[in-house]
Amino acid sequence: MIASTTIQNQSKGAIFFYPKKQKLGYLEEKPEVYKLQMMRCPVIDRKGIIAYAAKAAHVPESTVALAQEALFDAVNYFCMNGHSVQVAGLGSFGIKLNSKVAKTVDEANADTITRKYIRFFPNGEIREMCSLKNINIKVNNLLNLTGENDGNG
Amino acid sequence: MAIKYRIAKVKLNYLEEKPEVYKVQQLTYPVITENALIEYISRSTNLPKSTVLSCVTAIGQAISFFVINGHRVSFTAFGAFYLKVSTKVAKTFDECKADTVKKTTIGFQSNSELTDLARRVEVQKQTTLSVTE
Repeated sequence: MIASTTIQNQSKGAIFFYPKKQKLGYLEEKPEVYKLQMMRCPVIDRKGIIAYAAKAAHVPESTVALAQEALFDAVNYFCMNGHSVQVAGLGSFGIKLNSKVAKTVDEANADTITRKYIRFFPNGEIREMCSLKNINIKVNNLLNLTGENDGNG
Repeated sequence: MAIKYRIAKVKLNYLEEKPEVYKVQQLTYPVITENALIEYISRSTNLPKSTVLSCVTAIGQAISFFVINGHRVSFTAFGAFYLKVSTKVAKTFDECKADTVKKTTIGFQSNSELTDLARRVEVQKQTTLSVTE
């Protein structure tokens, strides 16, 4: 019996996991192992964030929406111009380049750049909040999505 | 406006012969601090700085609150924040417990539009600097 993977997380700071069987195809003997997979919670969109932030800041939703749009536009603008941007309560955003090495100076040019992307680096507070010691991990063994017998029939 | 880079000499110490190679290195631009960002947003929206600060802080707190509770927070015009989890493998079903979780952190994935914009950013060599070591 396959149960639904989408649940509403009622407990503050608790993340639910379930064991999932995987085959390590890159190894010659292709062993089957188990790995914890995080259960999916509903996706929170822009409206949800604005509603939550409006209540927290005691500010109308329209004001928060305007500030949110301007915030991400500003982050976008500054990042595309090479700056790192620090956002209060979140972290910093910046554009990063990945490049290949070159044996000579002449070979080291813009053609060696393999990737340009926006990188997010959470601030200390967020890293602390998201660290293992502050997150309550719960494993739901009864929700056996591998189809195996979990001992409960 | 293009992003400037320089050529840096790098020693690959992890190789036995420790070769010296050259790599493109992005130049550091001034960081836009929280105050500068608040001021910029305040000017562009004509909202008072105090209101902008409250809103930005509350947005950051809202995102982190939902992420640490396992939700994915998605902004269609920007990207998504999610909880990144790394776990160890277990040989049996019974061994697969909470202690196999190695690390949790917050991750960000930019949307296709932002990724495309980043890919199309121009780069320019900083001609006034020589090769740095």
